[in-house]
Amino acid sequence: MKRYVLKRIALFLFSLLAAASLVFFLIHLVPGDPLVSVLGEGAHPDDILRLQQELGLDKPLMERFWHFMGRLLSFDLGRSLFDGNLVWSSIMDHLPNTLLLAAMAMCLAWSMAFPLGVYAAFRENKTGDTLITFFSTLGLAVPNFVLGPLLIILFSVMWGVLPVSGSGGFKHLVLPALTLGSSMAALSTHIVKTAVARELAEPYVLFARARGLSEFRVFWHHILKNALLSIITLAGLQLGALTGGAIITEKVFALPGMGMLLIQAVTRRDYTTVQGVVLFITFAYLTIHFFVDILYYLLDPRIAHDA
Amino acid sequence: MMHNRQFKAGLVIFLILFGLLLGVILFRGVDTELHLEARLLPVSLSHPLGTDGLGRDLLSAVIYGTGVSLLTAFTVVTFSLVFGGVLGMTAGLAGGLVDMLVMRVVDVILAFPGLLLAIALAAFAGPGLVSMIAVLCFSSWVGYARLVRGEVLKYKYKEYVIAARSYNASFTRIVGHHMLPPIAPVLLVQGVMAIPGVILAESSLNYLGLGLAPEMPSLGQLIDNGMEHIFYMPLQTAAPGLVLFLLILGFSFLSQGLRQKMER
Repeated sequence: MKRYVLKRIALFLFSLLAAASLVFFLIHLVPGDPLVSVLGEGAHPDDILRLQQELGLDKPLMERFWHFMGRLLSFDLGRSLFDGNLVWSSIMDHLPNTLLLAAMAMCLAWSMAFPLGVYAAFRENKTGDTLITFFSTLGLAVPNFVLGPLLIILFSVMWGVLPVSGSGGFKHLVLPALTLGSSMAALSTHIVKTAVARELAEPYVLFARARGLSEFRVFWHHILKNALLSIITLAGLQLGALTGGAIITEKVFALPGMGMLLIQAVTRRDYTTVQGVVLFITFAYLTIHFFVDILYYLLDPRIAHDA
Repeated sequence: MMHNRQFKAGLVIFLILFGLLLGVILFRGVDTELHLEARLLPVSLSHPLGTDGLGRDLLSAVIYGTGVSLLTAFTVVTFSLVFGGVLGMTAGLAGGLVDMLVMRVVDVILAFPGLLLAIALAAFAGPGLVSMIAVLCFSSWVGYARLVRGEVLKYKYKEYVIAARSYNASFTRIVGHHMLPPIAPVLLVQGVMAIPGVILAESSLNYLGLGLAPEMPSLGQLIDNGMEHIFYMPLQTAAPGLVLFLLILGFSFLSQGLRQKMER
């Protein structure tokens, strides 16, 4: 029992370390001299030397690596190469928008996906199920950067009810949340439907029905508890899609969140900010994953024996 | 296979899409030259979809972009399938230290959420077709490695494999005759199922400006460029958007149909 939790903790720590190392070595992918590409072709040698010392690039590789890791422990992600701001504080400035967007999108997605998925599972292969499956397949095939412009054309250009882009207030978040939420909803509906349909085929459902229990009772008291397990695990998979989707959606609507910070840093060749944002998102993702794993164990201790 | 509704739907989408593409390529030709004096021309006979913000014929650019998506998807899936398959097979058969090393590398790559690793790698590697394909391969071989390793472990101790070993069958014979036949179909379905995801990832990178160089058209890039003119020329976004949607939808239908066929 304890072994499962310890194994998860070990895997979590290993992943953090590995992600940090990979991000550290990314800068070596830059073709040519990264400093020249930061400062431009005609950079003065003195400027290059100064930046080299500032970034510690004149020291041996391993020394830099340990220095980088040490700073991470104190949440020091360094300074932006573009404007010299602390990377950590620009992340904190952009984080609320992304969190709000993700939370709204998730609420929207699950409030649509849960009833639809359960309904589709109970009416498998009937008209309702076919329609829901058809529309969720369509939804999965529409990239966020196609759905977003479509919604802009409808709501902002044709009907003029919602702002096109930017930030400020609830109104600016409606279209982004709708864009991100619909793609999440399509994925979640599939997940819920598969999980519930699998439980429906179990003998205990047949027995509950044979006892004359109402369909609602069969679902609420018997199926839901078992289906929730697979739904929680699969919801973990969604986290990756949510991260990517949020980055794209923020670009579509010019919403100043983590995704915009990342894309802006990439275009400015602000490599320290890119490293910082990628690390921050990955660490957050791994931490949530870790807690999902533990939660899964608490809900169903059986998995400790399988793993 | 023709009784399968989803497979049929996918096939129909493809016949229409490729019919149109082929028709245009054969009877009209593709011209993606930049003509800066002819930017944002409206729809006309010589430019059926008008020209884009760089003065390219939009129809040609969309077709070129579709080609980029297809080429990327097939290259990435083929490479990842072979590379991941070989590594997964090696890990499963060798076991011990080799297995542990391969699986830890897989864990490291899976530690990054979906698109983020591709974005990070592309940001540092710079634009271009080759580097974009390399970036996508880097994060997509792991799925196949995991799958094949699991399958190998399933068949490794089957009686017929042990029997083959006992009469001293060669390594290639065991892998080729006893392991690959049951594993290959599973691997192929996984490969086909991955195509829509690769197309989505490729167009996302291009939408973010991290894929091809700006002068090479791609669907994601055309959608991004079109956003600037969305108020008065929605076609600039809608045309590449619709083609991308149909491409992803067609492949999802095909792969789902294929999987249903295999499961039966």
